Amino acid sequence: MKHALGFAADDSFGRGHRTITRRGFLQTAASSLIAGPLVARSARAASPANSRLAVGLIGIGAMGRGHLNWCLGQPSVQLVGVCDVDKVRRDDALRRADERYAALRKKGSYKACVAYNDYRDLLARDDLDAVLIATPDHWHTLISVDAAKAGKDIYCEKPVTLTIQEGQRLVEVVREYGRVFQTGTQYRSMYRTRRVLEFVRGGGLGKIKQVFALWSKRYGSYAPVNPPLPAEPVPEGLDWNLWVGPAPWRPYNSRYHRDPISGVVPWAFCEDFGAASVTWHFSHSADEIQWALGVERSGPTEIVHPSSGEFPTLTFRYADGTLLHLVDHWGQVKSPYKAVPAGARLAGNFGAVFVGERGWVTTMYGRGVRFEGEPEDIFREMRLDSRVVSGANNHHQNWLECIRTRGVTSTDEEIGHRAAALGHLAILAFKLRRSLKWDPTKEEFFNDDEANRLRSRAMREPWRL
Amino acid sequence: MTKQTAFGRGPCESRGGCDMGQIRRIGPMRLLVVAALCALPRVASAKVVAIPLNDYTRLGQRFTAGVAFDALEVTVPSWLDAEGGLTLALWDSPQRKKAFGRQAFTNIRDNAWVALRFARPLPAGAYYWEVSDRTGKTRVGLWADILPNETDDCIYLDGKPDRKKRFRFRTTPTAFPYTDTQQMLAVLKSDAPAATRIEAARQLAAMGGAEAVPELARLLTDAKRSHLARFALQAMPGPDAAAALRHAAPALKRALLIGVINSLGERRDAESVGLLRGLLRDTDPHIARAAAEALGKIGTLDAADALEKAMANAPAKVRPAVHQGLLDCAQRLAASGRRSRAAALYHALRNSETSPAARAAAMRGAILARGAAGVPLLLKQIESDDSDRALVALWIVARELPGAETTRALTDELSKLSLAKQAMLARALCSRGDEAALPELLRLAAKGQKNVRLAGVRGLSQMPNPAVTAALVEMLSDPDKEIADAAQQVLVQLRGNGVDAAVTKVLERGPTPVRLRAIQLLAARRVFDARPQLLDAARDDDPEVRLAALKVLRTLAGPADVDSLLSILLSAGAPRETEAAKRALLAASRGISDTGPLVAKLVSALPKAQPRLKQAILRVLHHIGGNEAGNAILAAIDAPDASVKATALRLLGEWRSAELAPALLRLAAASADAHRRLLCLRAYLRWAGRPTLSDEDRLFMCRMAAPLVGRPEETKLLLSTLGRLATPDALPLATPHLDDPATRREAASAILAIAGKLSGGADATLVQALRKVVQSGAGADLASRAQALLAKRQARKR
Repeated sequence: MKHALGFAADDSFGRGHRTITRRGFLQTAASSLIAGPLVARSARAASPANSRLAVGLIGIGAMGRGHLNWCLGQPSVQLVGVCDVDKVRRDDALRRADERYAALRKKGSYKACVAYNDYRDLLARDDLDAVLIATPDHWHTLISVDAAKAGKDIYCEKPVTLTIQEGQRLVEVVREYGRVFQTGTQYRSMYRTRRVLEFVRGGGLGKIKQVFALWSKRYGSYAPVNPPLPAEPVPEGLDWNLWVGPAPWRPYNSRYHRDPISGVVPWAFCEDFGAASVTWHFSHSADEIQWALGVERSGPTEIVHPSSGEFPTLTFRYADGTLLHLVDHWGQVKSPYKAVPAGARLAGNFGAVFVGERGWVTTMYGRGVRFEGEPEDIFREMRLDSRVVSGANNHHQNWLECIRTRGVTSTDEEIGHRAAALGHLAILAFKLRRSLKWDPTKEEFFNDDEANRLRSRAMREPWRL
Repeated sequence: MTKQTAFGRGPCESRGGCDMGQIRRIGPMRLLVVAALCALPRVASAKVVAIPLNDYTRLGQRFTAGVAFDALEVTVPSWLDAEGGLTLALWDSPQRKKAFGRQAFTNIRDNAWVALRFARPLPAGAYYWEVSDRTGKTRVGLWADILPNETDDCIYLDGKPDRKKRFRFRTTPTAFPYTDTQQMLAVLKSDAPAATRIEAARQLAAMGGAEAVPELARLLTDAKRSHLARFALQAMPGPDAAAALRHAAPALKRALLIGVINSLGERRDAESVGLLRGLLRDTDPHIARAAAEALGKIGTLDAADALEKAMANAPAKVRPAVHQGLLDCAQRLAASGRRSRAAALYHALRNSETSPAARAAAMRGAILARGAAGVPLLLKQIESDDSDRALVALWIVARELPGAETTRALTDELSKLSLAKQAMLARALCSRGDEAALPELLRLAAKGQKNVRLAGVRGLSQMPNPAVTAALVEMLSDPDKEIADAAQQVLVQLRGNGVDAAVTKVLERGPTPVRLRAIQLLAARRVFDARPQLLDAARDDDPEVRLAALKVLRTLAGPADVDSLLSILLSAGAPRETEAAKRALLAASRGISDTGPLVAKLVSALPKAQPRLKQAILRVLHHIGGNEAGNAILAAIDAPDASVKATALRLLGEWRSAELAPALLRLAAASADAHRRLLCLRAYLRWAGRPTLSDEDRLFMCRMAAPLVGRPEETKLLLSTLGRLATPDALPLATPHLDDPATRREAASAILAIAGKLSGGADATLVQALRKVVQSGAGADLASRAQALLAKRQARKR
């Protein structure tokens, strides 16, 4: 085994099997609940290192680096493995982890983490408790499912799926194995945003009539595309075959892999690797919207394409009549929809504009963005300490807490699936250029074979869910 | 002609639609920044020009489409807001060898999009569109973006390329460009780029007809196309596609066979159970594993039998997949009502040598398959020393086996568990959220072993309920501080209508420590409705309560509370209370529209106020602003108390508008006290230095202050202000101070700063001043800078 490297017997969180275990972590967690016999049974539980959750990070690109920083800054987390098919990235992550832990231990050569090319080797570790998955989208469900089968708890970047069927399987397996799953849609966990969403969910605006969210158009298409890109030499150290994994094979091109800028993923434009707007921002909006509307475990009943003439932009209709309009830019909320006053600023993204019987409110995030809405009284009722939208949130902490208590995370596997599915429904309607009727219970389209056939995709051999 | 608004076009359209050239050129950087941060307002490009067709015979644009499209649109501005016409045509290239479509348009309104639609989608590739044959009386043309770099996908003016411009246009991409199954198959079989073949397979998956099946079946043996053939076959409905997969299997080797097995599993193809049963025994463990997992997904009784038989004799490398298959199979059987068969499978798995995770999953299945009768088994797992099973059992408690009876069965056992397990089960029951557990959870939280209590208290946050609120409020007075802290922490976030009222009630009566907790809670929960009670508390006999309430009122009080807070401020005794009352009053006064009455009350209170209160009042007046408040602060400068005087001076220096500047200058002139004079001058010159005033006004203020400046520190203040001006008229005020050794450096710096801002003119004064700097002995560094400036001016003159 790659991780079975030598380590000192007294090394409480070295590179080995017998180091940190979930049992140890949970026993210590239990000890925060109670000092009792369960703790006393494990000598290892007395070690401070054993109070840490043994975590592996899979995917160290634009998003993964943020998770790496989080792991290395968490006293209750021990990063025991980093995994990426790009050697440069995984070596860099390993170096950072080693430096961090050596500094903490004041031992210059201290090693605590192992680098992996293949995530299956990381999942095979008995001492691994949980994984953070920040790979390109086409890997999200597969790795999550394999992690659940290996008995690991999971934090998966959004969107957690690329197809409806992937989402159904994800929910099935995570539940089958009783795992704690958190979707990486952290905007709903931002403290102030959550207050606004709770306010909407609790009926603060009365019945919600309309919701608006941004949907981006790229390369002239609202759906992800698959342009033929020229083959380029595969960079040294990149396992391109594993990078493509379950997606249809194609030659390497740097557009898929090279980070455009810090914090932005490269591959999402391509239909086989990502979901365009769903990846870039809509997963966050969808999660917030469906939660605020109380349909986070369901979905719309109709996707109305603009070609129908009913609405100028693609629109979801929910069973209670609520409409969710996807707009190219916030200006459309004022015209043609005329849903908010002309003076509204409407800035930011990753959220929505909610319009109810009583008024309207925004939840978008961005630098300098403030919550907007009317009537003014609603902000007093929400008891916000400030109207400035702040990124401070407890999303990762909620995951850790639920691992300790086996509780239900704020965005569990089903909520993550349903938020991603909302985006996939929009993509299918855009691609088919027609309105669709959807049964959110059966997760089937009514009388539309073509749409139903697009609910799943065959994985490249030998991969399967 | 109206310039297009920022919202008049999408970002992609502004760059020319789905353009392969752009895909490469824009690069992921720009493209995905926009994608991820489309929060940013879109700004219309400043580098856009309108090119009239009237000046040319034809205007064209070469472009490369990244995906197939079935419409081309071009936006047409007109110069007189009148309506004109033109003809739009699509060609293969600027050489115009092959035409794809052509249409004439008339009565085009300013900036309207004219669209050329095609009966069949055009595939991705290079194209050229052109407008020509202008009609009508007005000028019409096209918008062109000016590009930072040259490109081949550029505009053509009468056939000549201009490689740094791009006309605004857009194409309508079509996800499914092929019109019949044969076309799709032809592309799939061709040597087209991988992405193109993938798109053909995607369209076959969505809409390929049954006639494609034989050809797709043949492609299953083609290593390069087998996956794409399955891409279609796996999605295609009807028995033919499944049969094709089954029939292909015997001829396939390892990876391709595994792919087909996987597809049969995904199709839930019951007819392939026989085939898969055989493959379970394949010597290649990869193939046997695929077969086992496919059988699990099919999930029929036959599949279950095949897997159960394989359990005993499967090789070690295959066994985990057989177990996975059994788990999936059992789940499907249970879902279809065959619970007893499912339970038997789970039972077999629980007793097999499998991974801890699979065993725990089997345990979960066994419990759920039994329904309510599974509770004893569930409890047994919770009590188990096997942490994997115990944790999954707790997970079940939190989410599954719904119903009050199950909840009661679990709570009945709660007290029989070890303390550690009690704590964990209590948390799981809280996550479950069933109020049937509430009496027991409340009992657990109320008394007993401390850590179990803590677990119960913390878990109650997930069970909003009046009884929970009451219990937590009660626990605020718990003698154990940790319990009281935990209760307070939970109450901060606890939902429910009655929480605010319950906490407010605690504030009205109870021992001081509990009242203090209530005050903190009201602040944390931002209970604005509790302001009357908090104002009462701010007048309480207990100084701790008074102070805590005042601190909280700083965040909760509003304009309606100003009078109350003023009276509290005027009667405040202890310095900390005065300070807290002042801060609360300041915060509350922020929203007042008419500050007059408040200022009048504050001013009238000043004469009788003690020095500390006086200072507080002055600070409030400073915060409110206005003439009356300013005059009161000015008057306080002559207060007998030194601290009041100092505060007044400082506040004047920080005054937010210039109306007090003349008074400050008068005070400086009249003052014999050097410190006071300096403070007044500083405050005055701070205003003179503000960039919000014009240079002329600032120079005037400096001129007014100049005669008063005597001491070096005063001169330095003036010079510092002069240095911020950008007018040569400031130089005569600074130059004399080069003669004083105490201010020489500051004067030189000021002159250099002014000179640095002057672009031309007033050369004589400036040159004279700079020469004086060189000769003044202010320092080699300053002299050298002055010389450099002189040399620069000299060079400019030449």
